Amino acid sequence: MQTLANWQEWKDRCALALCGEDARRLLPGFVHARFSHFAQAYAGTTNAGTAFGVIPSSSEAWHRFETHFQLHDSPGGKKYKDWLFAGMETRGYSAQESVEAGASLLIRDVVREYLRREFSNRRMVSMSQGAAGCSGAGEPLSVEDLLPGTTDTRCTVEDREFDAMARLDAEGAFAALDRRERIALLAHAAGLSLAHPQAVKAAGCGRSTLNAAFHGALHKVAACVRERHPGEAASVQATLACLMFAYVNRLVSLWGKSENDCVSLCKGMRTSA
Amino acid sequence: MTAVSGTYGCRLAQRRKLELWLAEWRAYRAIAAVPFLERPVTAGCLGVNVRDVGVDAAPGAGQVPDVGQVRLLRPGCMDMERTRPVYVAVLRQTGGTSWMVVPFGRFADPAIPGELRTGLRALPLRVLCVWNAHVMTQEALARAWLCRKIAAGLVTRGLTVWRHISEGAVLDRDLIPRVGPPLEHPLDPRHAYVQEERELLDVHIGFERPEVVPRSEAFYAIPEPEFRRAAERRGEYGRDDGAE
Repeated sequence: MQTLANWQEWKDRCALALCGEDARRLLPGFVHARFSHFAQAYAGTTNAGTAFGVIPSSSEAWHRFETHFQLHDSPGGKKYKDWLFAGMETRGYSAQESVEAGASLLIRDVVREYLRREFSNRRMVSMSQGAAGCSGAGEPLSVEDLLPGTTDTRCTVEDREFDAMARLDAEGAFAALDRRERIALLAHAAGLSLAHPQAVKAAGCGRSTLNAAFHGALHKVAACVRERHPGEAASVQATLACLMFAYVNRLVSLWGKSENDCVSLCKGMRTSA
Repeated sequence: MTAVSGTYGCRLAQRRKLELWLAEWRAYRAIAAVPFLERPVTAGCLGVNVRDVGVDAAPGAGQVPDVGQVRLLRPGCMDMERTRPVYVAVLRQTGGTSWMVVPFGRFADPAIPGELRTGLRALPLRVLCVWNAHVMTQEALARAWLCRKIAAGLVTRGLTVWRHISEGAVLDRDLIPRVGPPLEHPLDPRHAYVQEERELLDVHIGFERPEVVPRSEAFYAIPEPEFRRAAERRGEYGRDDGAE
């Protein structure tokens, strides 16, 4: 089993080829094992189909690990090794565990890039395929839903009505948001993370709760469109959701400016309302 | 909506870009769901204490920060599951001892209009996340590892994108294909991505941002109601309801 001394030797000698036999044998074994572990999680969704045949040889996995975060060949381009070692003495980890935890983090990105390049189904994906991490009414939203068509809301009477509907719906959706959800949207629109002290203070809760409120608010806004226009086509619902979300953000920023606790969040926001 | 279409290219191109980014996001989420250590992570936190293992505690000391430098931030104290090596580009000096830095992204394709494809070959430097600009002191920058420099042209392009998202300046035509598609839908997974990346930088650098923060229009296609009203104040055909 690899030791901290093996990792240290690799760092000091710059490349694995210059290391002793132990390091040359053990370190690629570690990387290969982690590589396989992560690749199996995602291989099924690539063109490769299954993990079988996806995982490269031990030496190739090591090469990808060693070069992924490297900016160039000179020592200045290999500072990621210092990053790995600077994370030592972490809480709850031994020095070796810390280095290997850092290496595992890097390997996740290496595997993702490897699968993207070698087995990507990016050229074979339909625009209507579900987009990860988002769904409406239980059905996954497609890319088309996320970026709906070129609706010029100033062109026709119908389009103006469409815009008016979104504006009206936005008022209802805004009213349905509780204070915490409004603050989460406000901080997001102001360019602040939900861990920002001003956001946390204004909301009166921790960042995890604020994060949950943020996602809750997004789902409420989307649900509002589905509830009010259940018979509309998905593309119409998507366009309405985008328009309405913009109006909700405008209402939230106006609300924020009138709330003493939230004024600091609005600093720097430039809305023309 | 129309303004956004015009600003960021045709819808088809935007959708194509979004699909590429979403493919990476799906992979990222799938792999991130796998425990990355043999044992569960409880108090995992990459600390900043350094043992005597040849890691320079102040690697950039003596190397004065300068525009165009690429530096690797020291590990921040953060949930290990979500951290990564963060490279930043120094775009401009904001004060006597403070600098505006912009991180490079995790993915190969830009996610939102505030992200710029750099054209650099190095994998960690493919996308510049201008929207996530932060201010760093000279002292803090000196603790980050100096890795390389980027061309003045790329610095200029980064600042152009910054002016676009923070001040509403028109985006150069040649930059449109290099930035990401607009973020409009409430259920778009990029909202989660934006929050995740903001928090990562806040933990590493602190909460200070350059003076003008990205306005919401940079992310959301907010209609302009004033203009709309001016255009719509027609009333019945043949009658001007705006007349006194």
